[in-house]
Amino acid sequence: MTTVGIDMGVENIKIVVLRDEKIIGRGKARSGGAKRLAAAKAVYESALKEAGLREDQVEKVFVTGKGKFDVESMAGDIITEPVTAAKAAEFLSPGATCVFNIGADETMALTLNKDARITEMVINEKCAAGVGNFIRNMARRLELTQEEMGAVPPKAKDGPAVSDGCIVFGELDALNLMNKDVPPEEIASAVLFTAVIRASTVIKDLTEPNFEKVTLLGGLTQNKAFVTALKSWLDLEFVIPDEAEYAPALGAALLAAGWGVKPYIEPASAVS
Amino acid sequence: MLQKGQLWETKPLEYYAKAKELRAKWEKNAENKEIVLGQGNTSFVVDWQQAFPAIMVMEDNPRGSTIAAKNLPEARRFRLASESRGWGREICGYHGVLWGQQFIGYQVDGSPFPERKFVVPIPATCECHTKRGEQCKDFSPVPRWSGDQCVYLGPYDQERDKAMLDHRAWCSWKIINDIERIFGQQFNDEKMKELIKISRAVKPIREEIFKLMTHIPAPLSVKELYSTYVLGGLVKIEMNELLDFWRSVRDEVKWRTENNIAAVGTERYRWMEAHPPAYYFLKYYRYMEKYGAVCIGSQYTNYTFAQLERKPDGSIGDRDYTFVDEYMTPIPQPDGSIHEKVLYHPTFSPEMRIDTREDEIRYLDGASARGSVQHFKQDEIYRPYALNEFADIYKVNGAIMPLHRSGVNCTLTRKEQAMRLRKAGVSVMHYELNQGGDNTDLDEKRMLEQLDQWMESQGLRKLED
Repeated sequence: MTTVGIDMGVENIKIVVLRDEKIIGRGKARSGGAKRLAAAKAVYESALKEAGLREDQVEKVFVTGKGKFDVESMAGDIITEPVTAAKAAEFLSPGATCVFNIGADETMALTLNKDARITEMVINEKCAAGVGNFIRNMARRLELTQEEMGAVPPKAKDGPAVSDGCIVFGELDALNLMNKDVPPEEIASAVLFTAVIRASTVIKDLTEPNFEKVTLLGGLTQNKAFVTALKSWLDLEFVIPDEAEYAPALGAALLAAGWGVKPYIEPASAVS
Repeated sequence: MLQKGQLWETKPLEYYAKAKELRAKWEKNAENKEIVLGQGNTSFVVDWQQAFPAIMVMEDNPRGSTIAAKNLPEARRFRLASESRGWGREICGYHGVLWGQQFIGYQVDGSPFPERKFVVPIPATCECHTKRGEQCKDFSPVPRWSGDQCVYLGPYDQERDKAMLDHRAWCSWKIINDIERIFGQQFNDEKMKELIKISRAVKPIREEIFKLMTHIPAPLSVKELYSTYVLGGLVKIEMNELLDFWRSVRDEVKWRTENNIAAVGTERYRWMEAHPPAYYFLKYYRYMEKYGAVCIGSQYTNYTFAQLERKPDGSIGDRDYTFVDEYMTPIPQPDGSIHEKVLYHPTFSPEMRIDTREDEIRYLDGASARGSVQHFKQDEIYRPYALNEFADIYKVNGAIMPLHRSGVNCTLTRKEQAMRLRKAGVSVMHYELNQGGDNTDLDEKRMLEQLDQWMESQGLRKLED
């Protein structure tokens, strides 16, 4: 069976083409601002090209991500993010007990039971939104590439700091540091530390976390400095699968294929 | 014939028309030129204003929330009028809306704003409640009596408790005597005795209704309750009409439970709230029903006049306020509940004999202080545990707990409450807003997203899909 999962993220569109539980094509591009549908179609075409397929050879397309309703016309079904993240973890990291999915906009923490069903879910409040966007924007301001931003050393104990209560205040503090000629790498370390604190507030909201096998997913898995700082701050080890960045799209494709544990309870039939 | 996805039969409520009629009558009464109109809340237990020949005390919350629900642009205009006069987000959103009408001079329907002649806010420890009616007093110099809300920290102290109740009774005594003196109206003690008698008759009826509400399927959902539970509480109606009304509600709810008539025909998931909703965004109740998720109520709707508890033998009954030493430190049980009972005023007996005006006032304050609404005010001590008990009694699967950015102090300990509920197996969703009457901080799109995410994480999909 050939299926496609589309993750319409705030920052990036990611697409996975799946055939018989194997990824045979991928696509990624910036979300495209106002022309998100056109951008998604372009990524879809390139993913199909990589897979060597035509559109009519795809049986089902499922969509997830913040912008999922922007591409409703492409979607066989629309699935919410916790479900696709859980499904991806079930596939990529069997036996995962906890999933953190950290992207440009949303931070999500899930506890999974042994059947890979969600038993607890926490999503960020507004003041912890946009962690990934914050890092990207700050990199631009600091004139660092994403790679450079992901390679900065951990924040020194006595190094410069920015507000960790809110990324908007954090950004103002960072600008202040720039005006004081603090080296960009030091500011970047402080910025990443703030991003870690904001993301951690979500993770720490889990009431009964099971940290036996924590799986980290989402776009921020690509920022090594962030991941290192998060590990250190939470004192946890993470499983980061190769496809972590594409996990929500993969989860959608897996759901389209009907793979694994059924995430939904069948509605009971009506009483007569 | 049941529709697709429908599990239970459903039927419109018959008592609803009467509820609307009583509410309209209450609002109309404020325009009566013969009465002296005040702002505030006389009591949740006995509506003592009715012992005066022509006094009406009007509470802001039902008016402010209705305007927010039905006419958001006007609500915003009124709120801005309040804000531009310095009444910001530290006060309750309902009040910002309601008093904006006073500052502008007309009501939402275009009629002149009926000015209040005095203010009697309900005593409360909650920070914003103590400011109630200040806008009215700022606007024109009218008398304002804010009776003290007495609480103390530390272990239970019988002497202190008695002194507090004495003080409260003194406050109420003074308010009633001052109103007599200033407005030249005689407080009718015989009428007051009659009001107490009726209130004693209403209480067990409401308890019965809220016991019936534990039934699956829920005979009423919170949508109906928000229009009903205020009758006799915040919306003061004539006491005999009140008794008849609650009897009719009880009879209908009883019939519905006996015949499995549901408020929501698709009920397959029960959720609770901890507070009044975003009144300007009530459609989230309907939205949840698309998943077969029904809100069975909140402490506000179900517990205002009848707090229930699970008894040691597993049955459900009226809360027993038995004395314990660990008054301020109830011991949580592993399942998140408490088995200690919290005592508010053991010196008070709800069956006390009423002969004199002092007896009347001691009954009024004793009953008021002894539970009933007090579970709202003891946030750090009692509410976290009461929520778990509520979830157990009403058999809920999930809870929506708003995080208010301003207004009343409702969000205090909210996260801790959520953690306790989760430990008891109740899934919790938060959403952020300013306050029930103020839509400033509500992101509607995000909230609907969160509802979808939450419902799907619970294994539910929209039934229409």
